[in-house]
Amino acid sequence: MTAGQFGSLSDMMTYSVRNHTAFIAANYQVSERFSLFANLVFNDGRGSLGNLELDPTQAEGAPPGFNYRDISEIGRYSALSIGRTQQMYGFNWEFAPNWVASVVGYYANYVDRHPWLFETDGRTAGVHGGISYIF
Amino acid sequence: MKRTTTALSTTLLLLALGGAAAAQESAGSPPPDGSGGHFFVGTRGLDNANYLGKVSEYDTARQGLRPSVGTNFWIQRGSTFLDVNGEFRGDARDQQYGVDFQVGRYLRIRSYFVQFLHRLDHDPLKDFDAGKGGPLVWHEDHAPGVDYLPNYNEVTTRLEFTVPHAEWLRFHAGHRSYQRHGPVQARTIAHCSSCHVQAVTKNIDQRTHEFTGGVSLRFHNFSVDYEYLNRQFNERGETPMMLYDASIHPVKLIPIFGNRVSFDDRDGPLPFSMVPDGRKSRHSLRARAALPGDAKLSGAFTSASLTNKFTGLGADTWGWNGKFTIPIGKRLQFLTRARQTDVDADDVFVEIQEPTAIAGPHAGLTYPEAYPDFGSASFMRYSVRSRNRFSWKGELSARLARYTTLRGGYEFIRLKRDNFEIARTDTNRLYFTFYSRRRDTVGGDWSWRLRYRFDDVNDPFLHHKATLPPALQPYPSPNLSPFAGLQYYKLYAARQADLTAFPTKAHTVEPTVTWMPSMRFSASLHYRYRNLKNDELNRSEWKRSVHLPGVELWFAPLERLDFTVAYTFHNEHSESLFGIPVYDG
Repeated sequence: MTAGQFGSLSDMMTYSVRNHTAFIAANYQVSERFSLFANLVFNDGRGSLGNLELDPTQAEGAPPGFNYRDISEIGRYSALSIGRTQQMYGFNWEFAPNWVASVVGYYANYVDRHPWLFETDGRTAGVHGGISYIF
Repeated sequence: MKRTTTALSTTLLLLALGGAAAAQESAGSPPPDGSGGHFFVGTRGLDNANYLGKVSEYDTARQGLRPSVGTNFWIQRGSTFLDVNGEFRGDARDQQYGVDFQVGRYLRIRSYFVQFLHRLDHDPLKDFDAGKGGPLVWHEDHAPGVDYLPNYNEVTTRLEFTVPHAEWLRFHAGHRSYQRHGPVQARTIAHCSSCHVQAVTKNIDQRTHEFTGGVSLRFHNFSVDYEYLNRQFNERGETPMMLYDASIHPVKLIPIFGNRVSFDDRDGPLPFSMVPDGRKSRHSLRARAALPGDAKLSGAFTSASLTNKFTGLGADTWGWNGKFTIPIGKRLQFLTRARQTDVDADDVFVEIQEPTAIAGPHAGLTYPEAYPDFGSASFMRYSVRSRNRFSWKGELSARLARYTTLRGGYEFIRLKRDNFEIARTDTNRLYFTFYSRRRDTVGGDWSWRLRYRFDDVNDPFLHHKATLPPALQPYPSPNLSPFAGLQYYKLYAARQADLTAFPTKAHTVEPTVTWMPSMRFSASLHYRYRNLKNDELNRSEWKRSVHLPGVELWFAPLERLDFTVAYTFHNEHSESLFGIPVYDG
């Protein structure tokens, strides 16, 4: 060790995770030929290291240029905070015998509030629709 | 591996099918003669923003409008049945097809094909900028801007044959083929001199073929099933090559560290991120018997062999289990079960090349020659996978009253490791489950369930001497030389504290309550609580607690309107020792 080795610093560190997940679904048969539906999923996840307080006086010294007290901030650096939403809304309409029109609107969103390697926020939305012939 | 598109399209198809599908899939007796199906044609339009790797990890999610077609057709004539389905979602990487064909009661063929892509992250390596800068830590991404979207496709076919006039005898055979192909990111690092991290694009073409075949014998009170499996894995893609940096001093640029690495630029381009070919074979034998007095006996034996075809190394596994249940009177039942698994993985001598330093005080010397107390860099690798696991449990179930049961038992689990400092871990487990249900015309239907489990573990898995080296050199090396003074191997060997993520005591409690006051409302509350602790570490105490409450509500305020609402909260808290050595090397 060129600049020396002075022992170790240590402390009890915590890791906390909190995830909230909610799901809502609704179905409404408006008439024999027409129905509505919706599905929504929400997720919020957070995790972080914490409670770390390194005391440099625990060690017999320290090499020049190192600030071990700042390593106590590792919890803030490693914190995760992610939100995700998925929503689907649609209807089915039997507009003629054996013929059904279906339309689904779709929306999904992903939010990373503490990006680490790179920005991962994303969103996709659209419509999936068509006609079915039932035989 | 469920994807958003699958859910989306399935919703459409199921809703469009309406009563036809429900009639076809009704459980119990086979559907009467008939035929049905649907054909769907439509479009899918998407508008995307920013990064899709998380929000659409398994979805092509192409911008704009795409065609979408799907069909399902089924026909039933007596005991002959055909069901065909398929879906194409506007992209060759997003389609699936299936067929289920049954000829009489004797032959059934099922086949399924699915294809999709997997969005993988492209690591820009910029997080290394947080490390010590300059020539010590640096990175190069040789393929910036490349999207890593390997494709996945799978074909599965299974054939079942029942011998006519000997229906106690059945054969089955199957084939499963899956392929991952396309670009992925491969990374490697050159050590000593600098920590030089490099990333390149690697085109993979990984193919797995799995063949199964077996026979089943079914008698009135006895059955036997045997199956053989053979799996072959081949990587037909490229293995990237890297010319590693010269092992020189990162600042002085002198080749003084040549004996601290086993390879550098002197060895020319070397392969990295290689995935070896492999194979697996497995024999499985299961038997069940009904005994007098409503007792039941079942058992299984499995033998498997894995081989890495590049190194020739492998592992052999065999295991058996047996289970016996017998009623005791009208209200009690006793169950006992034993299991054993033995894994024998090959040991291997890892011969490390020991080059010499070109310049500096160690010129002409290998690292072991420069530091004789280091020993040899080469070593015998004894596999930690080699182990023997045995478990036995006894369980008693009691029907206390109508709709009320209590089940409890004890289980002993012994894990013996052939090659690890923690050679044996014993777990003593106690558990019980209480269930009760009450039907009340006024208060509605209630049901309760309470599960509890306690584990007492002797010598759980841990990392021996994982952290906290003491002060070994509280002063600079002479002339700030990296060759004098404390070396890394001595630092590692001096660590004092053990660390683990496994408990010596663990409690698990799971209460559940369900209430259905009417045909239009039901509510279910559940809670899962775990408390784990290891207070036998030499320098610290490890803890973890998990709270997992949840609620599900279903209600139908109108005849044709219903809602489902669910919520789950996951709260987990862990405590562990964190240690960091204080040095500059």
